[in-house]
Amino acid sequence: MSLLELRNVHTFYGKIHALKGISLRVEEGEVVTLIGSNGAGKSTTLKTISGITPAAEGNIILGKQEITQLKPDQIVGLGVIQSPEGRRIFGRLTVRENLEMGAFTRDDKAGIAQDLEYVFGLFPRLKERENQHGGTLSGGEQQMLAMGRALMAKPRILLLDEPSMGLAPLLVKSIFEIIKYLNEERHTTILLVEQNANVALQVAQRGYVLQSGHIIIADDAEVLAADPSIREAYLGGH
Amino acid sequence: MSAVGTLLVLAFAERVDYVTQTNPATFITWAQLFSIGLVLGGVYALIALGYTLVYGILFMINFAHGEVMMLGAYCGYFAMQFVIMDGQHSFEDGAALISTIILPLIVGVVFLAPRRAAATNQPNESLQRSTIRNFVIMPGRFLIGLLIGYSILVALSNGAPHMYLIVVTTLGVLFVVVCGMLFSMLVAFLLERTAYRPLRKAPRLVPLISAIGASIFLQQVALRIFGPGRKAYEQPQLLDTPPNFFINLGTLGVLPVNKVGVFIVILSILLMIMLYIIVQRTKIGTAMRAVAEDKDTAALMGINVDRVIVFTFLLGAALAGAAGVMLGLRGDDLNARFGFTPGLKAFTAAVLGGIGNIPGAMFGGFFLGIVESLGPQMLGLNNDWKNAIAFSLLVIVIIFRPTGILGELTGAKKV
Repeated sequence: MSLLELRNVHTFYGKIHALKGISLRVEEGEVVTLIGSNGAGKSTTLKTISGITPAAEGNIILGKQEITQLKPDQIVGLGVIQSPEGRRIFGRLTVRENLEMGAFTRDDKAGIAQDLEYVFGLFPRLKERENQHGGTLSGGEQQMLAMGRALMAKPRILLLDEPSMGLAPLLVKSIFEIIKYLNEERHTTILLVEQNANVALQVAQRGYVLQSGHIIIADDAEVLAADPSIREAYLGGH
Repeated sequence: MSAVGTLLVLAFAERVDYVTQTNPATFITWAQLFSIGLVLGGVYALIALGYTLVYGILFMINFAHGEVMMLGAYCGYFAMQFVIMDGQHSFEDGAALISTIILPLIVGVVFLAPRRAAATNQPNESLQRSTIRNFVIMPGRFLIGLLIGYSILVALSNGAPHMYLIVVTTLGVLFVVVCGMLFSMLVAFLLERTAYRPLRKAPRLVPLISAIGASIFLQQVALRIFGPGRKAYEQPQLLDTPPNFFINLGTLGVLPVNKVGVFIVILSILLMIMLYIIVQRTKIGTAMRAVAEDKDTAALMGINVDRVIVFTFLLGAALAGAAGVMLGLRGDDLNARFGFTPGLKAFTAAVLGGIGNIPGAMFGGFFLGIVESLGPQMLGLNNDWKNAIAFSLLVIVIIFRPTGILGELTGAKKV
């Protein structure tokens, strides 16, 4: 049984048919990546899973539970945590408050305090800026905060939307090292959306290629990385 | 535009200079006007907070907020009638009766509190022990609290009659205030459900029209139910007696101080401190600020956005209800249009301070109240000019600072 499964999911933005029957699955402990060009439907897929743009058709199943019709906050309550595209830090909340909001659905004070230490251990820069407003952080720091905030929710599955967007190559590298660490050491299941397919395929075990609302290829990450047509389309021909 | 504003300011300055030269008022006159402004300002600030809280989260002006305040004031009136049993006895006697119920209850609940904290520390206690805890110890503590509360009252009434009067009056007035707050919250809750929530996804102008409609609707309902006659609060003896008390300022003169005014200013400041703590220090308050900034991302944190919006309305309504009761206590006559002018003034105060900004609404409220009170004297005009002065101030401030005095650009960016 998969941890997360999408069966023939359709989503509309007004009249625009953004997802035209997406089916995919993520197993416990995996890193799965969704790659594709701009507007292919990658972010929409994550938003649909989180219930922000609910599916018009099809099923989304978490473990044994159908979550298609649930509201975003209920889906978060089940452990499906998304770190959205563009980081979406609360600029007028402090770094600490941002992290506390990540743990909004949790009641275990001791556990929250422990995870706060864990996040500060992972991103010492955030500890230094604990009482600063989120809006004053640099792009890289904001990405760390966005990931830290998602981790504070104790995800069963973490949905990461473009964690490398707008970051310098060195920062991209460290963000992906952390993704790898989360998966290998913390056994966090991750569904990763990336435009930077090159790095994404390095950390992922499997990948799906999206094109205008359809999944056109699904395979192991190594196979995808070696595929010449994908190399040409999404990896910049390197 | 700012040239016009500068001219206006210069003209005002010229006039103020002329008036103060030709017709100087005594220090006591100014101090009295200032204190009236402070009282009015506290009320405006409380109402303005409701506008600003809702705007901060929904970018909508809740034009029915004045009516929410008006209905709270009416509920306070009926609570007051309940206390005096429709005039069968004085406020003090009624308050004493009510206090014998309220004070023991409060003390009883206070006695329960440490119990609860201890219980959460022992998650593994046996069923038998928790049964004893729930059915013997907890009610026991509560009863002890009741008894202690009651004996405090008895002791006070026998030993310190004046203190007793103060305690009883305070509790009686607080009872009235809380009734007003609760009723305003109920009205706001229904208002949000029926008039605003269904229009959440509509263009911005639509909920605005709905708000104006709700405002007229509530006014008319109040008119039909409560009638066109004016109603006045029964004044508690302690707050009322006209000369009140005097502060001797030596050579400057003697300043009469209005006790209701002192009560209103203190209570409004206490309520604002409570609001500030809720918004800045609690989890739901942080969630409010998160929702105000970005609803989708707040939902991704697991925050129930609808619930936070309702909470925001309730918070604003509670403050408005308290403000309505304060106006009643101050001696204003109630009628169905009672909410209109204070509502409009408070809205002006919220815009002055920077709408969406909580300290801005507090500042704007006091600022407007004081300007309105001092303005006519400064300009050598009849007091009837106070509304014209208040709204001119708004125009001048908006010319120079379109986002309000404490407003941030972030508000404008979102529009």
